[in-house]
Amino acid sequence: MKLHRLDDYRWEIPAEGGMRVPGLVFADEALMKAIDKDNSLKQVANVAHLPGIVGRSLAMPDMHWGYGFPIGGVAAFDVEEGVISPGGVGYDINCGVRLMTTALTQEEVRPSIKPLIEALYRDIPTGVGSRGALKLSRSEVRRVLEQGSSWVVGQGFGEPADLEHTEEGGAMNGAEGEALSERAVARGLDQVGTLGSGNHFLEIGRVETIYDAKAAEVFGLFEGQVTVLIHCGSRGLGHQVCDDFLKLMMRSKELAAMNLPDRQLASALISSSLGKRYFAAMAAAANYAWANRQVIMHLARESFQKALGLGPAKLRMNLLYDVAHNIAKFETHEVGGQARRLLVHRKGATRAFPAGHPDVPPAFRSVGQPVLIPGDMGRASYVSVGALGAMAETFGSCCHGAGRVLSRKAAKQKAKGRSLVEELGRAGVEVRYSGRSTLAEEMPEAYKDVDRVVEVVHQAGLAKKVARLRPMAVIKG
Amino acid sequence: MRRFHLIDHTADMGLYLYGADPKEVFANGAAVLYELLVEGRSQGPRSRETLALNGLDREDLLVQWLGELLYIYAARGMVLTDARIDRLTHKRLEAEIELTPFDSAHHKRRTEIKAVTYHETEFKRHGPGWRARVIFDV
Repeated sequence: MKLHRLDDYRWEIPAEGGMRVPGLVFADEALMKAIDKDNSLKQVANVAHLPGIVGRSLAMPDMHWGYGFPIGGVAAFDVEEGVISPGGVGYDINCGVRLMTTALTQEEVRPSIKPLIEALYRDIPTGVGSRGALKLSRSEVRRVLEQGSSWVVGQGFGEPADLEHTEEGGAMNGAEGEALSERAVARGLDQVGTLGSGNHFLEIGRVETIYDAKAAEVFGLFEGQVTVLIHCGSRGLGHQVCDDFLKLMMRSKELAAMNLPDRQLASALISSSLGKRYFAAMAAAANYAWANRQVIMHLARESFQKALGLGPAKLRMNLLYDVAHNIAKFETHEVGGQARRLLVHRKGATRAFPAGHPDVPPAFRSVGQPVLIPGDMGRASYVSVGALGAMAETFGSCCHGAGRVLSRKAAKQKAKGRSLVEELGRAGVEVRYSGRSTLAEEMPEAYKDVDRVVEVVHQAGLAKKVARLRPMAVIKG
Repeated sequence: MRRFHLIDHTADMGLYLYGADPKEVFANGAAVLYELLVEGRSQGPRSRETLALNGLDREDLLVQWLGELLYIYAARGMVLTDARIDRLTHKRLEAEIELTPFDSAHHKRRTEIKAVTYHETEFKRHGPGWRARVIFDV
């Protein structure tokens, strides 16, 4: 794989063979060493083979080997000639993150941290096969699919103000419940309000450092403040949508002509009926994920009230923002001096729109969109803000996390004979978990150094640092 | 003969599956999938079902086969106790499977596998037998 270093933070993969555009990877030298060890650079090149790709096949500094697209991959497609790819969104459609701020300080919460995390672990269904707080009928699932967060808020799970602080208002245009298979709907009946397992988590943190006082003030962040970070997605319903449409696309006549290097890149023309149906189903699954995170957040608010004996006015648990990091969205971007309507795929990448962009909620428009970048459970997570460089280079995108560096197998080997719970406890992080092997797989060393990853997007001008959060307590699936 | 080995994939879980013939690769795949998903045995009722799949080739059939078995567990709450491959061509699989309901008193959930992907699937002759590669999204 040819790789040209352009500057301290940019690496180009020149267009060769069937690549229609070059690749561009954001990383520093140390991160590139890790990236170069797996197959993710080849995956950046593979994505560049897709019809109608515009600009470059992009990858963020948290990138690693995925399936089809790399994790951390971004690609934009012309709406007439381009494709939509379920593998470019991922199985966990609208996997994403939301961050709540509180009026509490770490000094106030620290003495109660154990009962608090236990209440959260008890109240929020967590782990492999977890079933939800809500049992829905098929017609109710369809409402969730078409109305997203607003439907569950209407059922009493949260406040209307939460919707204004959710990407797309928690409901994407173009979602159609009818586009989903019976299997997908059935898998959604009892999973609203469940965290699931794998890398999904809920974390109580504290604001350790503020880098940008103005943006922090607009976001309602202050040093020592307690925060709640929630990471999960569309659960089995989303997985089924991806599975169903990959199979359909693999069998379409148009796919054979695309001559793609990996079957997992199976795609359909955006303008085709299959492409349109997938978009409608994906948007519906995205709405399901927003509803899921909304219900989990509501359960977390209730747990805080019970465990701390404080009312909502004292806690002031406000949703700062909710971002999707596995999604495809129609957006307008400037390409070669002209505004073009594109379909932007973000597979393990976060939208990072700058100040003044009309899609940034009015409350944040003076500074830019909050970008939430969870790290690992031992070190840190970040709040950044979208910057102009993202519009110029990455279709308004940046990284979505730290990114894995160890395989799950390697992490488990490294965890052997150690008590991760005790280690994290000594570092000031209380952990509750449902699966021992998941905990080992998700150990801090399994991830890249999030400080380094965030520094790359900061220096490259994609998203600027606002605050660094330190974990205090975590529940893992 | 070894039945499988894990591939060191960064984020997900890759497997090489082995068999003396293609049928055995499919049967081993079913058994290994359930070893990853669940541990323990129950004395609950068993039911038998037939499964017939049409694919583009063996790779596609393998992804579909494992995907169906994953769906049975994840969505129907059943655990596979036996799988017999009755007929296998390049484009069609017919099998009989035995299932029992997941019972939390006897079964323990292990890894959550989201999906069986098509990424870098392969199905090839390998020494005296056969080997397939498949990546799970976990």
